[in-house]
Amino acid sequence: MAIKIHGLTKSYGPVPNQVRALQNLDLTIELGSLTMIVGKSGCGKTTLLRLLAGLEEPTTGNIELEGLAQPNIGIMFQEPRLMPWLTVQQNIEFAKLHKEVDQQFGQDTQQLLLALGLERFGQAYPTELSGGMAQRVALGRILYSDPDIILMDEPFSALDFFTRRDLQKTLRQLWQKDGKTIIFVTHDVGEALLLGQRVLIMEAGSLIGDLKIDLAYPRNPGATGFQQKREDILKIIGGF
Amino acid sequence: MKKLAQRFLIPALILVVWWIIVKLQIFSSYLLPAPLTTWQAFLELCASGILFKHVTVSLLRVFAGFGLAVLLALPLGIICGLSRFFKEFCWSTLEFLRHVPPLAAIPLIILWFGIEEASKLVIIVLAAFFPLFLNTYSGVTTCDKKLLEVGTALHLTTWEKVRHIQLPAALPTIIIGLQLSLGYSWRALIGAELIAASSGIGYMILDAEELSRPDVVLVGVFVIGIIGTVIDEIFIMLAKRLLPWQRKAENNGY
Repeated sequence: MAIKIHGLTKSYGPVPNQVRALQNLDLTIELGSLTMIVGKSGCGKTTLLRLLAGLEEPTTGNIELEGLAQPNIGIMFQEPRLMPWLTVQQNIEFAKLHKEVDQQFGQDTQQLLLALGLERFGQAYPTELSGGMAQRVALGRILYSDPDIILMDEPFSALDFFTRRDLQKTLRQLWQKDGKTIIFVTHDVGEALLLGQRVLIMEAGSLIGDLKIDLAYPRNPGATGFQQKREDILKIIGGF
Repeated sequence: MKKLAQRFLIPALILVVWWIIVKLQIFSSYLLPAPLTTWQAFLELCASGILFKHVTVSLLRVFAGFGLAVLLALPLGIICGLSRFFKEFCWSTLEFLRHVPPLAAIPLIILWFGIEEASKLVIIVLAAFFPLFLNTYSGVTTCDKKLLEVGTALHLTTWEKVRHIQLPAALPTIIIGLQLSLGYSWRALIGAELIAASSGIGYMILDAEELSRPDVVLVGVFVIGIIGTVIDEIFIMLAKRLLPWQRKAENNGY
């Protein structure tokens, strides 16, 4: 049971000046894993996520979701992207508006609000929330639809250090509890090591590194093992 | 209380200046009646029921014309915003009509629709259509693409995205369009009544001019302004109820 990516290429723009965001990528990601993708800006990590989410079509290659008959994929963006006219609760339940999947949802909104520390904000509007709170709602909206695969595109990068650490902890606990497949894109090597079981390193649309992180949770950024892995990743990325 | 004082300071000053000008007899009383004379004319018109009759007629015309304009402009604005084909189809015609002021078309409108109610309705519809149409169109087309992408990611169908993302996102702009449209209706109506009518506030003003009653003319002008302001205030109150999230955003300094 895995996500299998074969020869995935994505190009943008007209033929002579085409930009290749992804180049012939082959990759297998086990279901239930927490995989981090790191790389510099423009390395193709967001493109890969958008292709996985079905928001864009690949130029060539394909994505096979082995072991999932009707896969439900949720994506969380860098910005919360909440509907300003809906309350926190209505935003979380947004996926319900799609009639066809109405019956599939097993997640209870009140439990989700509680798990995300939003129990007092169910009736608040997005404009009344802080950045961290809004991102929690965005996470709630994804979890509500009970997806098999959660894609996260630098969701905590715009948040302050304390809020980010708090949300990283919430995400790790949710993953340890539910065992969902999470693919998390970040440009922060520390974040990748704090959360990931596996760290993929990308550059210029290709995979240049694939590391298994076998450190126990919760991880301590000050520990020797953590520092060593950090050095390894930075060496692969280069330029240091 | 302070806000109220701020709001009425300039009108109060105008009233004082008006009173001083009349006292100094700078203009003849045929040109500028005293504030008290105007007030008395207002009371007379109220007591005789004449003012009420004209106001009711004018308001009914405005609401009928505005209602018709909403029925036309709202769906057309939404459809043009959603369908490029439909937009290209009717845009040039609408652009042409937009640049013709309704008052310029009045002779033709009277010729075609007579001097009864129909011609006034047409003038109001022409004046009220474009602010609402253009605001609705712009509200639908300028919807944040990132929000629409959320709908796509959650597998919403095209219609579900229109209903649950594009239209609610356009609502604040549509409401501004409705507000502008109502204001334009009111102004166009008075114009229409000044040209050809046998009732309504515009007619009352014109009639007073012919009878050399500047006090009644002034009453008419004040009533137009006050009713316009009251309609606008009621509209703003309704809009706040319809858009609670915007009220909260204002309170939070967004």
